[in-house]
Amino acid sequence: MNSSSYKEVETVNQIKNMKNIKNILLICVCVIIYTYYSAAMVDEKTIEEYDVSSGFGVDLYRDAAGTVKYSIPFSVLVFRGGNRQYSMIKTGEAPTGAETRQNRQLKTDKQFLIGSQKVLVFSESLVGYGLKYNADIEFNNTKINDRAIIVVCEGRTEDILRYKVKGYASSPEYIEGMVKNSMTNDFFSREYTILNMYVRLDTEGRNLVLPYMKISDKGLEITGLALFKGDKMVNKVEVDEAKFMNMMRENELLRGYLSIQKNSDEFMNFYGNTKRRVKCNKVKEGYEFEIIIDIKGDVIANTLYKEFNGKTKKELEKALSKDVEKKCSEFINKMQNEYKIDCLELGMYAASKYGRDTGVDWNEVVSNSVIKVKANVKVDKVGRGAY
Amino acid sequence: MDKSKYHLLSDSEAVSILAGFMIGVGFLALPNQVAKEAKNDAGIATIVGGIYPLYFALLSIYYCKKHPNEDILKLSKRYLGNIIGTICNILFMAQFIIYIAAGASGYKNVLVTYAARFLTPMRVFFIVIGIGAYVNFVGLKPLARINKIALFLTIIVTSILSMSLIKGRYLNFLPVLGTGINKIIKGSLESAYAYSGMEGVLLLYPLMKNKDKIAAISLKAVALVIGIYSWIVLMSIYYLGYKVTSKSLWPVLLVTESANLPFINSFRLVFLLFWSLNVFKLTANEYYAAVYIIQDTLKIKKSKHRNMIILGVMPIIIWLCLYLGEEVKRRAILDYIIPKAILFSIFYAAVIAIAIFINDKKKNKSIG
Repeated sequence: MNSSSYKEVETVNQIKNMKNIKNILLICVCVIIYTYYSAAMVDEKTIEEYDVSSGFGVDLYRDAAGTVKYSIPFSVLVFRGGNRQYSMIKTGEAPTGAETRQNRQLKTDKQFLIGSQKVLVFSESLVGYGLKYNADIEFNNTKINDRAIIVVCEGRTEDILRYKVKGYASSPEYIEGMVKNSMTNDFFSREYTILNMYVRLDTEGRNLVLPYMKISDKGLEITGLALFKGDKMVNKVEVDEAKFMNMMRENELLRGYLSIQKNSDEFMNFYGNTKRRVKCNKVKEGYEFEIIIDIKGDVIANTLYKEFNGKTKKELEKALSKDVEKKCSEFINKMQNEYKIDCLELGMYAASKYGRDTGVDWNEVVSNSVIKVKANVKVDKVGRGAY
Repeated sequence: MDKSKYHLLSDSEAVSILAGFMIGVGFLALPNQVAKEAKNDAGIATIVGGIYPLYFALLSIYYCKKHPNEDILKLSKRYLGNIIGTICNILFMAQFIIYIAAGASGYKNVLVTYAARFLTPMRVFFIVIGIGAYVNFVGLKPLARINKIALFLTIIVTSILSMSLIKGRYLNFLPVLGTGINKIIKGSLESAYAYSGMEGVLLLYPLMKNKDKIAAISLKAVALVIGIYSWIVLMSIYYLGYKVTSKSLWPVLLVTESANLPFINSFRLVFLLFWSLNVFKLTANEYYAAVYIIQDTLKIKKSKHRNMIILGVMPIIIWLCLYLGEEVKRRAILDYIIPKAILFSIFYAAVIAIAIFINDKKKNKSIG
């Protein structure tokens, strides 16, 4: 009895010992794995050791010898105790985009994190020269925030980045808000992002459009849209014109104001959503496009019609439709004769219907084809009543 | 191999392990490779490419009907003779080892470019191959469970990609069949690597619980994978257009940026996390297949010896992984090897199917 129970205790102890050894081995293995992998991290730094920037600009100029040089300023946030933040501009200059990094590092106390930026500002000189060389370096960078917003600016990008907006640590944060909210009232698109740039630059029958910005005497201001042909900016349109261009161009729901004004006392304002459809047909002489814009919205202010009933409502819808059609046709006229580019992305529709990669220059085709516009305005709500 | 009832695969496990043999590294690069050839019809090309796993699914149904308890290794030895059968089996095994190396090195390339550029290749390979080996120590049943989890996560994550539906354009698909049948077939050949792995079914069908349901199981797995793959390709083309898709090495990761989830800065990293699980699972699956074949060829029964094989294969695989190197070189080498491996397995499976057929007729005649 006794001896057998001793044996049992012994075997139990043996098992316990085995388990202990196993546990110790496991811990050893864990430690070895940890040290092996943390050894790889020696050169990595914590985020505090990097320069955090909210946006950067890309400038291009020619030096005295005529060679192209890039100047890329970063708007860097400086944290100094408490809540106060400052921003600094750190610029690198070199013949290629990537080389500016080494030049910039010589003027900087910290390493740069390239890609976490929210805003990219391109100067007019860069987009006039061509965007492809710059798009490549962004496409290659895996750290880049593909939803960052791009704007084109007048003059030097450094000035835009350096511009002080009260209450903001740096101007890119302000610019981001400006562009993101321009869609609420001005018929702007939601998509002025890097990802969108890749898609537009490289799809047949599409052309890029980016917000155009400058510093006026009232501060930062979006003054219109920059029009691209291929990867080069060739022209720009004012906001009033851009409104109707976007209406015909963008596939998404756009929002903004339309109005009819007879004189300063008799006017009508309308806030609506637009959505457009495109029909494309091949005819003998070339292509024929029809753009149908559906606008739905509310009457915001109305002193034009004394009484608002079924009859006047229809009258108003008709008048607004006509107004939109007229302005759209005006833009198309200008586009075909002056800009000579396919700002409305009609080429994409033709290409998707009649075949891709056929070597057709859609800018030319669209400039020479018949484009009809039809607008259907519908009044949805009239507010709480006319005063 | 322990074939007691507990260790056999249930239906859902069998479906997910078969799907798990296919879904892996090819997943991210697939749209790029297909769109290069098939352009805007890449979606159609991907569906056409599904013929390849379908072929193995149909063959496995036939095999299982005639020889429910013998896998392709035993059949090949029986019909092709011991020597030729063994050689074929070893080649079949080599194919799985190449797939493991291709998968692990592809994973390393994505991880190092997108997430953790400080990791050396060796460190990544240790983790991936180590996990594969570890799961193999434990056995088939846990492997099947991991596959099940991975499949669910894959379906969830790919469905999140549909957030790009808002921003894309259906015009990117048009004109349908505009690139021509030739190009579409070429594109579908490009998708073959992503679909490779279905060969595993020829090893697995004796391990299933309900062998009479083999048709439903294998067809379900193939349909699931075709569904997931064509969905990914369609989403990439829909959102990016075929030109950008054919420029980006891993276009799916570009599409993930369109997903704007609350509280998550970049959906890309979340996607990579779940996708990592897929890669680990695929490695473990193919590891299992390779070890299983070696075990069969060397006629090893003891689990101790099996463990030795698992550890013995590891350095070979890691060497192969290191050899494949960065993405451009890797794709160049794989473009050379994979078609041959695929042709071999198609041929091998067909020869044995024919042998079974002829033998069956002889038997019937002798009975009749």
